[in-house]
Amino acid sequence: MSHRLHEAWSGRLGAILAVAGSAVGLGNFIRFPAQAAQYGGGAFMLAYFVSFLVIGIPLCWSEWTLGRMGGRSGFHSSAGVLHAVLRRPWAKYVGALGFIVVTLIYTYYVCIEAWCLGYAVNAAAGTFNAADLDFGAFFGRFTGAGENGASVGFGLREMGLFLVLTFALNFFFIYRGVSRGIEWVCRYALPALILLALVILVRVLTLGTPDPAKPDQNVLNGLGFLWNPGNVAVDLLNPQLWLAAASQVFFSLSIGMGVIITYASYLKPKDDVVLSGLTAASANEVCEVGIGGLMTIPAAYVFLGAAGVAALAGKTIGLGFIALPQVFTQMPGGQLFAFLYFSLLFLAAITSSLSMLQPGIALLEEGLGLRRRASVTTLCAITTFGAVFVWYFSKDLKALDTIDFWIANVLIFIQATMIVVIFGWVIGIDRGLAEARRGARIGLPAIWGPVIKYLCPLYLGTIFALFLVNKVVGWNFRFGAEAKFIRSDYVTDLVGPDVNPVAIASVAIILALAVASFVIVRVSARRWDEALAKQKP
Amino acid sequence: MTLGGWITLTLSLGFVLGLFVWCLRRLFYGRSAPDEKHLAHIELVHEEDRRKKRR
Repeated sequence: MSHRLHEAWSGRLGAILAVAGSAVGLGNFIRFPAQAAQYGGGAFMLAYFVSFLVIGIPLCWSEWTLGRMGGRSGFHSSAGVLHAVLRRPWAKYVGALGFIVVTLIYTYYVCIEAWCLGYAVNAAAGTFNAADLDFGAFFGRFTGAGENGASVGFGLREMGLFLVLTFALNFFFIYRGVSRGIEWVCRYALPALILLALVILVRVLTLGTPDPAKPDQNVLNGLGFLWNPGNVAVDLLNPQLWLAAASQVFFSLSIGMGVIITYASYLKPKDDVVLSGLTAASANEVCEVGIGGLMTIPAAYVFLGAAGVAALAGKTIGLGFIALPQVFTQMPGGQLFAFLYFSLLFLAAITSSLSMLQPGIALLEEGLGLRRRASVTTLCAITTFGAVFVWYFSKDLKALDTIDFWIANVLIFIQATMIVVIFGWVIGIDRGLAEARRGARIGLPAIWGPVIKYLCPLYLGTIFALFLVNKVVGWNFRFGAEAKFIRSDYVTDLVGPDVNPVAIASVAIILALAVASFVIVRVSARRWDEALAKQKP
Repeated sequence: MTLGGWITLTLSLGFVLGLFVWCLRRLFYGRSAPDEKHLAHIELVHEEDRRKKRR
């Protein structure tokens, strides 16, 4: 494994920027406002911050600490890290989930990233200025949501060219390595996207009342649509609100994916993890709450009105790629701001997609002994297969949606729960916290012990149980109201009379990668044991 | 925007901005790691396992 040992961040700030870059993504600027608008600002924010404190921060610290522990032994994939730290036969299989999750998320995330690039170019080219443009039809054609294969083409109005460019950029930077690739991108992309976001934010907050004939459609009412608390006590009784808030924290902080474990493994043994983890998480929160929460919904509200925004609440993709381009065309200087907005989304997406590739590179290199060129080629082949599948089978975004559901919702919860149980129970909370405190630049109060050991797994387990009951079984209940039973499409697509072949193929791809990953880590274990045996006790 | 909306917005923004600024202050102006005397006993899990096996 000697050829990998030189891989490291250039400094502590590099690691923080990389983790923050991984966390700041499309979820901050589209998903968060869509969720908050759907569930009502006050109650959602309360559930969101509780989830941030109870699962977000503890999982961040657990993953940062585990990663640094594994990095001390020269391991960087979550499978290798858990194998080295725990030395239990099952640990490597838990770690393999990290490879499965991020690799499969990448297969559709890179497509959305390509949409952002394509929309930025189309905005700059003036495509959205056409008076007779139907934005829904444009989206259907560009992404292929209208018909399978509709987006297979390399013109300005199909995603093919942009997908190729996005793939090439991602693998170019991954090939350059941790410091010269990922860190370099994050060092420039993160400040650039914050600058872009602030420019757009100023534009949105100074829109006032663009149409005097509709005085209600103003920025303040737009902010109120998102932030007015509503009936907090009643809203908090809705389990789906808690589920949405917890899922948003997961999705946003990049926790439960194995990304942070891999990134933290490139730290030096005495580098701080407590303050670094908190800084990266808080940087993400500033982008999400402070920018995403003030920008997207108010912009949509002043042009589409309350009814238009209400129809989009919870619909992340519809808000970002159908409503907002329409909104920008009605805004003074809209062509420029549409270009800046989709450029901002692209920058946010690429820092996240790079983080989804590095765990796979680490596993292939330290597990199979591949050199950088071979590992990049292998991972490129795997992800190209998945991305082309998602690209072609695009009708109703079925492949994208199915993989997103089973991976980014179900498997992430399972992996996150395992990580926090490993940290709190298998390693032991005292030993885990002591390890986290090594080199820490701030104190880690003892109260976090019971939070990580008891509260976090309990909260995760409860939310996951709610999720299964609601989204898999289909029982939509809320306290104080009559329960509704609605069959879940994700289940009926797979079993029963109305199975969907694309959904079945998507799940088959997930299972195939899972089997391949378990085989890789099983084969790798001997190599890892030999490497560990050579190290000083 | 109602008073409740302003309160929710101010508290939420205040929390995330306050946390971020506090982190940056500690990062750039804070003292480095406290003394590690109390950490001398800390070791990797497998190191302890190995010692137990030897016993």
